[in-house]
Amino acid sequence: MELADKLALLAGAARYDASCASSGSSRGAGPGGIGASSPAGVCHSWTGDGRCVSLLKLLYSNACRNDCAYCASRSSADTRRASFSPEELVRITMAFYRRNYIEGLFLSSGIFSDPDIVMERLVEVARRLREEEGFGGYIHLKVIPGSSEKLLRRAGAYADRLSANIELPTQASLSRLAPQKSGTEILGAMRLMSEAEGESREESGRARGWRRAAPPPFAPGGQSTQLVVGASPEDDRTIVSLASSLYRRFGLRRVYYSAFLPVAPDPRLPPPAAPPLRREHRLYQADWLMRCYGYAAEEILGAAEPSLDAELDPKAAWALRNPGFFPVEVESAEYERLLRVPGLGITGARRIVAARRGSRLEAEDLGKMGIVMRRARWFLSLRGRRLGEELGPELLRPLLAEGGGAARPPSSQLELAFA
Amino acid sequence: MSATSSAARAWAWDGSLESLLILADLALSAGSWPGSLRSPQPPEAGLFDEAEAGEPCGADPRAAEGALGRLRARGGPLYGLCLEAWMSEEGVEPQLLSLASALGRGEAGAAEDYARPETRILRAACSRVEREVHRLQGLARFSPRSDGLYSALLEPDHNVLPALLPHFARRFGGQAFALVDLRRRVAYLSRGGRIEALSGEEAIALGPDRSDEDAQALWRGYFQAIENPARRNPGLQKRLMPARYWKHLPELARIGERESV
Repeated sequence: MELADKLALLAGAARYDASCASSGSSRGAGPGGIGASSPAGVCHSWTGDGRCVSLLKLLYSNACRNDCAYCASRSSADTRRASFSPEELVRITMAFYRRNYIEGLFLSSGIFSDPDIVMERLVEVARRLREEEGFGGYIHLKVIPGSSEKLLRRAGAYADRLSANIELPTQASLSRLAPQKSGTEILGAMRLMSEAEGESREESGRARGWRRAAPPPFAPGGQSTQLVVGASPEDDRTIVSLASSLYRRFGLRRVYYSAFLPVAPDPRLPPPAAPPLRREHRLYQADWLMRCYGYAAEEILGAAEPSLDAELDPKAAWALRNPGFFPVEVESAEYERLLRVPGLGITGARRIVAARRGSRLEAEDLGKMGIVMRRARWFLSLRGRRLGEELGPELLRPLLAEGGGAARPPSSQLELAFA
Repeated sequence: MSATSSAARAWAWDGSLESLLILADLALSAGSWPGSLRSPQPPEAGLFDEAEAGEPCGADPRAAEGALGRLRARGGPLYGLCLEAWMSEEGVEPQLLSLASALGRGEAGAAEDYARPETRILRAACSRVEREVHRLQGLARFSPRSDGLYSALLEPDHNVLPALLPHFARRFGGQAFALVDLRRRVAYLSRGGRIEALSGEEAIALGPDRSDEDAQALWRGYFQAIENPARRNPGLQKRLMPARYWKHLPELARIGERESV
């Protein structure tokens, strides 16, 4: 097969992996080499689906002995099969990197042989890039569940990020849709990575203490995972609490959610429908609240709520369920309380904290400072005075719902009617 | 705006970064500035004769270096804001000097206080610069020239090449590279650890001198294959990557435009 055809085939097969981040690592080029990565990561393009292209995302091979119902490369699929050689992958990566098309390589693979043999191939590509090309760019390697700890540690020495995909939210769904996969094996790989990361941090701490050069860190960009949403019957609460425990137990940097796209009819799968993109979006919002805003999983979805609200973002939904928390006082509320105000993000909350030290804030300053007052005013007070009328959750809901047009305060007639 | 002693004469500014640093340093140490800027007199009218005591008189590199050191040492975020304000080309120098004066009067935190109009206006311009710098770190497209140099053509909204240089110097390691700003007709050449600034025809001549079609075709193929047709969302694509940047992207530029480069 021509290289260009192979590239198209094995990129097309890799596009179902949502992760393309090049963040969380900082390294430079090896001697005589090229490349660097910086903690913020860089996007190099955006495809027609609006997704960032940061890494050259490829499968080493799309030959696979597993028959996962949701996967385009499953063994029963009638599709052309091909594999790269390490030379080809190194050559394309370096050519693209020098032209600033990419930030580095994301390499995954079908399970074309024993897990150790597959993993060894991925590690070999990373080794060549680092040792032979002095490549300092980003490398994300997929961990093949069931491969040995020794290989996993070698992978971590070359890669910036590693990931083992959890694929589905429960063992029951894995058994049904991905019968060759084992949840225990996947979680085992995550545990090994998390332990190796911890040891590596301790070692580099000790080396600093002795003023010695630290050994190469184990996957300094940490580990991530991905699960398919909508191929199996689990509700949002199951998914959110799974993500929360993955963050807690294994220190994952990211959980990615991938709306299920039917690739072939299969009696084990739900009937073909549009991918649940809205649901995927809500899950990312919930995930963001857990990682950056200090919300617990149980706050996002209580025992009585199995699903995230389709019309409301999870932060607004929490605010409506907790009217007693508001109004939050602009002059004195802690940063963490400000963060819970719909319409106020990390930037806005920081700006309020910085500005109230220096100036006496007025209501009209807030809008100028970049705060979305259309949403925030219902939840804020300034020197004891509410910035928006006090409305119950039923009246606030349409004002905060997405796609509901410009939110206007209700007219006075309406107020009378509800008084 | 800052309180100033009487109606002081407007400061002269020649538009250079060096003299902006000198002015910011002056405003910081005085805690005030006259409130307006003027263009310097043409040299034949005797710029140096006209200069009053304490008034900066053009871009003296040594004076600029001293100012730079003091701004970095005492000015908090001021040095970075000077660079970005200058790169923005949005005329926010008065806001910058007003903020420098406030910091000089001991109003700590003024640079983070978005309730102050000068901070808000200055910061808005600076964040447009930061956004473009970050964007172009990803969107600059290099191709190898026949002399082995990797060269990229850019047409940035702001004068951001100086901020892109350290990023690409780190990324390219020992590989020589050039950044060419077609709009401003300036270029920077990084070779053997040294950086050279060029302008006019010399700058434009550093652009690519041959086709790089093989690599570009491979990249286009990849770009098409990685898109998920079931998730098409061209509106989002345009929002994240405005169409004015597409011209120099081999994966998006139309074939005719690409070959005319």
